[in-house]
Amino acid sequence: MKSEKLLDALGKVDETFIEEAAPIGEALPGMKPEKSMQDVEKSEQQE
Amino acid sequence: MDDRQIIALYNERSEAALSETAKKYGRYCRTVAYNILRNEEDSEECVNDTWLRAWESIPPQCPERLSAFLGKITRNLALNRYKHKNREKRGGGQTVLVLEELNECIPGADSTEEAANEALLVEVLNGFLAELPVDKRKIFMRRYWYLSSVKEIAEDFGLSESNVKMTLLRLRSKLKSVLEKEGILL
Repeated sequence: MKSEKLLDALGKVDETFIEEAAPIGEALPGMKPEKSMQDVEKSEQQE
Repeated sequence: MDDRQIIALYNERSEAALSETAKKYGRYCRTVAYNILRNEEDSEECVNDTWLRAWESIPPQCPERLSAFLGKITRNLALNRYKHKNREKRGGGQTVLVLEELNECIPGADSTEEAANEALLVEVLNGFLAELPVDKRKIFMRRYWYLSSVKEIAEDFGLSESNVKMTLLRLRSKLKSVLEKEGILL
């Protein structure tokens, strides 16, 4: 299935992206959750 | 304990590596598994299998980012378990067996070609992700790598669910354009 291939390939992307997006509630030790709402709004406006 | 110390324990074949890994990354890996399986028991088994895989892989492997290394193993195991369970639901396994048997009759890319195609796809995905603003990339990864629900993403990012859905819709559309531009057909 096409979506399955995409899902599998996504599993192999750069590890920095994986670590960066770790769920805030499960923040990795030593990583500080960021307040991202303002960032999102800012980039929405930029688009 | 920092990751280098944990990896050193693996290299020394000390079983403390497993308890330290579980202590530091158990919650993280359980979340990865649970987002996919939505079942506590299955998730726990997946996480235990992750520790076993890590034990078998390190050494010779020496992960640069232990969290992502473990997360990837958990995600793969959970997705495989999910696929297996879904196959069982669809006709006690026979339907899937018949489909797999018939699949052999259909000409397609061989395994080397498929591996090359997947490597190219991963490269394009990495390029796509690198170009995104950090916040958008995180939302995309939360949905399609961590398989978090729209509700969970909305809560964590302080956004409305409709805002998250709209962001994801735009990102999928952008990804589609990138894949088309690169001539990638799935």
